[in-house]
Amino acid sequence: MPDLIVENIEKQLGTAQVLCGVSFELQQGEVLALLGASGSGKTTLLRSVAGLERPDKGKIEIRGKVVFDAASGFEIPAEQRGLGLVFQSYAIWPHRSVFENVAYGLRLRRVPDAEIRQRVGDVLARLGLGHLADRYAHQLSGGQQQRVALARAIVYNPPVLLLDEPLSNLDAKLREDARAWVRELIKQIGNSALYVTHDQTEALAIADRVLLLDRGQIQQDGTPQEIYGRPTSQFAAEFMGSNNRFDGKIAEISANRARLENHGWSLWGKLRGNKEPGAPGTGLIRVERVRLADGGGENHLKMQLKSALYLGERWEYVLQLGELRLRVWGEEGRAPGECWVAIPQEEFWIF
Amino acid sequence: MKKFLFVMLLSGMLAAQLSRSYAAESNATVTAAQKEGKLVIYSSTDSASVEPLLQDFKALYPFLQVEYNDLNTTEIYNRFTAEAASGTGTADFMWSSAMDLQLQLASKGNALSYASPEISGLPKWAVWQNQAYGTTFEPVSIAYNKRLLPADAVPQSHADLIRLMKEKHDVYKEKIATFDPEKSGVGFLMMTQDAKVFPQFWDLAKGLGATGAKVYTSTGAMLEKVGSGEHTLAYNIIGSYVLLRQKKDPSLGLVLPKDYTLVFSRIAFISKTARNPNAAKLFLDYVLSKRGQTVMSEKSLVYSIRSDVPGPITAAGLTKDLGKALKPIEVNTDILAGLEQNKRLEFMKQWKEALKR
Amino acid sequence: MSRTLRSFAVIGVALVVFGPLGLIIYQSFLSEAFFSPTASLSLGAYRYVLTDSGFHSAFGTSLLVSLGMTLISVPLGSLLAFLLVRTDLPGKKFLEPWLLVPIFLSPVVLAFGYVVAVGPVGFFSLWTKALIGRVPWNLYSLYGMILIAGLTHVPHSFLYVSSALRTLDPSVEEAARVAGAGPWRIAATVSLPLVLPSILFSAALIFLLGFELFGLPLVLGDPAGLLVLTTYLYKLTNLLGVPSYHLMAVVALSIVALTFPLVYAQRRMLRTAGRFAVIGGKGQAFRPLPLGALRWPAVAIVLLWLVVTVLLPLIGVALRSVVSQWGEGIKLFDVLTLDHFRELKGYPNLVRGIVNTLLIGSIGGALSVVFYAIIGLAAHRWQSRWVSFLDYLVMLPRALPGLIVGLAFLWVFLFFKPIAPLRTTLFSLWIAYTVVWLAYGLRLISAALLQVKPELEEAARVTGAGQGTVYRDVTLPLIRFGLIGSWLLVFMMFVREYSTGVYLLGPGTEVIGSLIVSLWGTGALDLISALSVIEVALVGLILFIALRLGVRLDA
Repeated sequence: MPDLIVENIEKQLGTAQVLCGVSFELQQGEVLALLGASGSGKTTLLRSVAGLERPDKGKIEIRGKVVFDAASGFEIPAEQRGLGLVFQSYAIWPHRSVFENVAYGLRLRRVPDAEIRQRVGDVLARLGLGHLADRYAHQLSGGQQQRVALARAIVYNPPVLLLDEPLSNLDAKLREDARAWVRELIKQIGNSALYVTHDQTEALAIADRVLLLDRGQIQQDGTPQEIYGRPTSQFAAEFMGSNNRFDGKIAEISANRARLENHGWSLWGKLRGNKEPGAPGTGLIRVERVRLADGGGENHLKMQLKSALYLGERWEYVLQLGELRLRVWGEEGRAPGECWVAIPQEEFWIF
Repeated sequence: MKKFLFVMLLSGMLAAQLSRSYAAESNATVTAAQKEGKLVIYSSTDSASVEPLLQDFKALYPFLQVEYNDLNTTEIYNRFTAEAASGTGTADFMWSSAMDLQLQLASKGNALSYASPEISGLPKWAVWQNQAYGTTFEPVSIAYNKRLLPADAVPQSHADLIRLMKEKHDVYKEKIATFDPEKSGVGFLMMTQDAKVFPQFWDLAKGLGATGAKVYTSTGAMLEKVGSGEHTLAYNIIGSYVLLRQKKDPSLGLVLPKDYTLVFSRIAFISKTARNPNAAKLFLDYVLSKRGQTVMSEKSLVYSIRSDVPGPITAAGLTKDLGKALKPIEVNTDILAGLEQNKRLEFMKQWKEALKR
Repeated sequence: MSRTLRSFAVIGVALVVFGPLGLIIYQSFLSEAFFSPTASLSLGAYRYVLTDSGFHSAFGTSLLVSLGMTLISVPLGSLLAFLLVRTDLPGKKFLEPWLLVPIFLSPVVLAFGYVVAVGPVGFFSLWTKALIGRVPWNLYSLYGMILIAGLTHVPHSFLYVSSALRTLDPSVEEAARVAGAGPWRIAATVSLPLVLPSILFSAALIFLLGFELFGLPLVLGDPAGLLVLTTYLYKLTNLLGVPSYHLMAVVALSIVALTFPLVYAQRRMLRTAGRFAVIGGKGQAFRPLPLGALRWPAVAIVLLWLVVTVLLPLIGVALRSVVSQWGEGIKLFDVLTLDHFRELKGYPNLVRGIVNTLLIGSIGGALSVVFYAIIGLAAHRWQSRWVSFLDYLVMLPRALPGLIVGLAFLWVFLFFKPIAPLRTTLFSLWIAYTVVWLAYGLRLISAALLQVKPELEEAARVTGAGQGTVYRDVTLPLIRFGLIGSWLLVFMMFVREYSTGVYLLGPGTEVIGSLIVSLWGTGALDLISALSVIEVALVGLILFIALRLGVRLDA
């Protein structure tokens, strides 16, 4: 049985339709990332699951129990859903010690004192906070506060753990380290988790499955590899990674391949979606898949190298052909001049 | 029939004789008062003045707890009317220097009819239908600042005042204080009585206007300002208050005008709906008795109305000095003429014109 | 908060606001006092009042006073705000609390102090007379009233403008500095224009307060025959020699008709003011604008205002309380005495008054804060049109002078027999006070509630706490300090109160403020000054405690 079933959630805030019918399932032990730009509805979706927002339409089930059904007007309030939520701002209660913050949920559930001490102690130790039990929020660093928030959310073993952009308040460097141990921790605990983020790298790293949201609708639901390597829509393709974009017209179609062309160039690629010959099309290829070539060939373009930028871990070349500008990565500096660029057919998607 | 009346008269006189003796104070009243145990008074006589009276009364009847409310005359009237009409508790004993307002209340049936045994000690004009009683005999006087007002500028009569206001205009400019008849019941009464008794009253009023006199609603405020020199003369001041103030402020002078001196009397009545009517009766009797009036005269410095009280601060003392010039304001419904709406507004209008306000 | 509790809060407030107001309206359409057996519906009261020349002139005077004092207090207050918040004025920290002191002083006390200090024979006037031969001013005049009213309302303007200036992004001023502008130019062309909404808001507030002045015109206006609407109403009591409650009701409503639109306009201004606020960046410390050569003149301005508005009257009051006589021809040192204070003991109602003031301030104040907190929590995070309704409800008593609210509650207690016995207890006074200060108290509470981020409450909810538990475990503990601060501020306001208790005055409901008004009528100025000194001492003590605790006085 899935831990969480969300059916057809619609929500309007003011005049904007924030969620337009979103459905998904969260399996036991799975980490599902809700990925999207701001305004895509991901946080609203998370808060709806938590019970802090009330959708206009739809149904939500947690471990088989209906907690919300718009059709019948049934709603279990947030405080009775038993979920754990880690807020973006951590929301540590400043008037309570770390221990008390974490223990609060257990106290509400009338767990005996001795057991509280033991369980809270365990969780704090597990998160490396054991020595901070008596501190207060203002005495903790951002990273420590975040872990306290996490401890508080998991101590009473919620069926689903909800995380609202938990890493976005950390500095960039800390974020990279945090990615790893957050995933480790969640996997260790074993609960399923719903993770909201706008950072695609974070989503790919942490999640087992990614739900890509755009303007209240699911664009693609799949594993990180699927989302990144096999995007089903132009939006999905463009949202992930860094891309080179080719606008042109579809000259011919053959099986699942197509030839896209514009002034000065013509390239074969994989056709995604239904298109007719003669229709306009957009070609996308990940920047890292493009390479400088030694000479001409199938799907090779002759371009002018305009500039080479040193980025530290690599070089980025900017090449131009007519109105087409491409970015290509490489290991060494190159002087401006003529260059051949290889566009592998398999990696070139045409929408 | 004549015989019957004669017998009634005789027995009446006999009864009066009997009730003279204070010690024969009706035991029934005292016992009843004991059961009541409390007395609520609304009065415009300020706490400082009345303290000796209350102390003496307490010595007589220690079982009575007296709640004394020192309010101004308008407050007394409004509070009583509102409370009586809404049926919530109000005063047992009403004692105010606003003669017209008190009589208004009495004439509207708010007063208990009670023939005090002390009636015989009072002048006839001081008792109205055994309901409202005049309790004092106080001259309406002129107060001045001895330090600052030169002796030749002190008026000895009303006519004097009119003359001096014209002749010594600079001395008196903005230095005279008087009652505001618009805002003060006592003030209104005094001014209207002045107008009744003194043919040149409006000249006096115009004189006040010409010298830029300022109006107030309380004797205390006026005396304070005369004492400080902000004003040098106050017209129509209740004499008793000046006497009291002189104890603290020796620079205050008192003039009882020789051409005529109004005498007014603080009126008391027992509320018909009093919760403690017997206690109130005891207090009324006390206030009207020789003992009470003597305390009033000697300790509170309030002019007593009984003719058998010794000393200068008494009716007798004043009569000796001023004789026919004393014009007491009689306790009867004639005073109410001034309360009639149109006449009142008419007077106010004239007053305001004279005072240039 | 459950729906029922929320509705109770709304109903409760509606009752205590509409009750008295409804009674006033009803009374205005009667021919006599409402408890008079011969009272009948009539427009006579309106006819009388609206055609009375006295009413017209009182109206005009009120208008002039309001206008005048706004024109004085707003520029001065804004200037002082700029000086204290944005410049390097020396002694800032010391001066700031003093700037707010006039708010906490009773206007009757202040006015009386002015009489003793700068009245025709005030000590300061006499010194001036000795120096230059005459006293060049007249305290009992329209301009005297306007001047003092204006000066004593500087703190109101200061409060709003200074808190707006505090939230300004300092970089807008620094940009002007870099471009070459000096401090005064920056004030005039950058800072003050940016806080214009707050300036206008305080102007509207002060204009509104002008109509509610009572103590000041009572003491200063009466001798000159100057009446404002409130003292005109007070005088009506005697005009016809009979309770003219119906006339008073009409005058009361005329005041409301003027002030309510102002209060409404104010509220809208508050909303737009928020839109224009340029909220500071990362809250970096900014360097204050240097005043240079203008430093000491600026300090002089501040000190001058302080002396004239605060020290002068207070010294006047203190002086009068320790002398047996005063005025022209009196050598002060000959007449010093502590008798007046000793005398107070002999007046049981005055002693009761002092005790009652303490009671109503401390316990009454605490209860009021609880009441405000309940309403504040009810409106907290409640998405509903009822919140707007509550807002407007709360504004109504704001539009009424305290004098009238007290009168209205007197009528309520007279009118409704079941609660009549409460009239002679402090309860009647307490409820009148609570209603009068409803808007103020709620503003304090909501300022405290705003500090609580919604996520802190949501986190508790998700962890399993019901709405009530959230308030108990999270919200209330977090605003604990705000509640204490509110209590202290309300305490001070209740002690300083004088007009609301005037009509409710009686044995059992005496408080210092209304006793002073009543005593003013009898002219016992020595007692008044002794009482005033006690009141000021009380307020001073609480103010000191509040400042020590770090309570912010601006609300």
